[in-house]
Amino acid sequence: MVFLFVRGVVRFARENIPVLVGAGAGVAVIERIGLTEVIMAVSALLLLGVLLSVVYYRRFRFRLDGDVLLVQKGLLERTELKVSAGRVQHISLEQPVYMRPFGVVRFSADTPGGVTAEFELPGIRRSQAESLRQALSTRATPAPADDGMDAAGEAPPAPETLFRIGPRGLTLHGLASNSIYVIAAFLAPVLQPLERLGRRHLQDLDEVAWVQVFVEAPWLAGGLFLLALVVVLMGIAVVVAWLRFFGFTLVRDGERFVQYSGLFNRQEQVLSARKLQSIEWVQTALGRVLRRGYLVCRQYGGLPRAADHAGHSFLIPGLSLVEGPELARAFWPALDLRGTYHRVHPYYRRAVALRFAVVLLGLVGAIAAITAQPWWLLAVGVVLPLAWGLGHLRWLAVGWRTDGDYAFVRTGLIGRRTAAFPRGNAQTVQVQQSWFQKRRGLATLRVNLASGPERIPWIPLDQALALANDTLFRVEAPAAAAAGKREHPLGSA
Amino acid sequence: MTLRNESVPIDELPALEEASLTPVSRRFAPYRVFSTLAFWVPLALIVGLAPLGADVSMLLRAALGVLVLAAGVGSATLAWVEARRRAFGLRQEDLIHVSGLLVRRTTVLPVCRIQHVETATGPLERAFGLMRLTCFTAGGSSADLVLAGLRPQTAEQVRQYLLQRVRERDASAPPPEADAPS
Repeated sequence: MVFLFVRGVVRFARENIPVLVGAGAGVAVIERIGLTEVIMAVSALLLLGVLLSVVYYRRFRFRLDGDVLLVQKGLLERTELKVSAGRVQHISLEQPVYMRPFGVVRFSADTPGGVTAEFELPGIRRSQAESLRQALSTRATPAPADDGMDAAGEAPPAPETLFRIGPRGLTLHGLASNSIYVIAAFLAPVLQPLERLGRRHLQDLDEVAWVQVFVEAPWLAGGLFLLALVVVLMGIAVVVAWLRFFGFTLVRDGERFVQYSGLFNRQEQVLSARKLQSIEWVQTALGRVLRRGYLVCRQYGGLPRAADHAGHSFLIPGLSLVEGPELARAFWPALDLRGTYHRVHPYYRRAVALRFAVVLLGLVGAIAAITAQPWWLLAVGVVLPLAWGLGHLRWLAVGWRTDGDYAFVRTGLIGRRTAAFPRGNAQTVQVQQSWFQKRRGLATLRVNLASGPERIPWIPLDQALALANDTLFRVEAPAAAAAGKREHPLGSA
Repeated sequence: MTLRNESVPIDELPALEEASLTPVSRRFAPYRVFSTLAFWVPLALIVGLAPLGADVSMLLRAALGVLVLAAGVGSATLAWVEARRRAFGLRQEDLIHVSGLLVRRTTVLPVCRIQHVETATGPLERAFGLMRLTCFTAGGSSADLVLAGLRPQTAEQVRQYLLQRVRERDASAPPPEADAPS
């Protein structure tokens, strides 16, 4: 019973920390009432929280019935959820620090249909979670029934470790990852008050010798400040990478791939080889300098690309230029990421430059209008070369190639993102031709995968049509031939 | 399992560009014009008649209203031409939809990828005797195919046919598991 209370409190606190802190601060600052009242208010809230979470806990039920998982929950509103095992995409077990003493984990699973169709069992025993996962992921393939909740399961064919990250890889991944920009964006609103604070203190420091040096050389001061900022951001990014991916291990277990990672918050993710839709090899701008990249494996119901680091996509971090393509073969043995990519037509560069120019000109115009300083319009002179440069970078980045059943689409600006997928995985194919493209006999090919769309822009129309026809053939021929035998021309492990 | 990798004779592939297409219902063009104007005319009225303050002259206001109205008429004209050029085609193994005027899109949805088919009509569509057919895939909303402006009986026939095909496919697939056709 004590355990139950603690867990309830912990869960409540986790979900309501902002509310608690906000309420506490509000009470203390605005009302300036005595400490006792604050303590009483907080303890009343806590008590309420404990009661609510006990009720919530008692109402929370789940059961595995055949291959259907039933979850009942809800405090005021009762929700009943039924998930069939075949629908489950992606199972992850997570163990935050505060759950570790109790030996419980958080079990969450995705079903196709976007981000909303996810369900979570917030605190179940590890053994239970393991067997649940076993049951849900083996049920998709006809397997011997082992419903026993505490059964260890039959011995799997010796899991094989594919990749284990080292401290060097971790650090480099942190340095190269785009999370630097995210952190910078988070810090941006903090900067201004910080500056104000600094200025107030600087006035007191006026007579100190080294401050005098900086006052006389503002460029030096600015440069040093920027450098310090970059170093701090990099430090934070590395720490984030260590927290998230410490001890990252990728294991092949029959048809499944399992990854373990996390320093405090242990996470386990499972990917079923059959449900894999596309693989992306990503190198950020810094990653290209450091010669590092990461792989992202995509399944149905693709998450937005920005969510790569949010923890739900199956990401393999800190790979060197040799390891990356090597590891991609573990998923699809015939996949070769290296090769010569076709460039798209040079007109694409012009189109992209035009697009950038329009956006930049709008930006310049808006700044000039808002600040009411017409000299901003001089920036127009810079816009055109800049837009052309960006267009050129984009054109250099975009490329495509086909190799047997696989298609590869590369995109980016300074970084590179190469998506590889078996063409038989296409859901729909679209040939798109703008009025401008039509006059020049060009077209854009768009292949919609279950994990999201891939575009090959500005290639000759006949090439686009040939690719479309070929792709459709690879989708439709196996389907048409499948009179009972549905075999797909993609190598699975 | 070994990888099948026989080469495909490119010239013998069924060509997308040679597929025969059927234009959508002729009533779709007036419907598009009507629905476009239904958006623009109230906007023009709001711009023309809104109390913008005393210092804005009547003339300027009317000019703004006429400008918005002109934009509305322009986009209605485009919508008319676009609607007359929309077409769809049903091949043995896929469904083709051609749409767009300035940007022309040819979308192909293989029948084996269809998860579910739906027909729908809005009140305005009903007044014009039109029906919309939506084919859902496993690829999320970006990969769904919407055929708008079909005559109800055409839409119904296409839907019946596609559902029949989907049912046959599901019956031939060995496990009725929900792993979408791959």
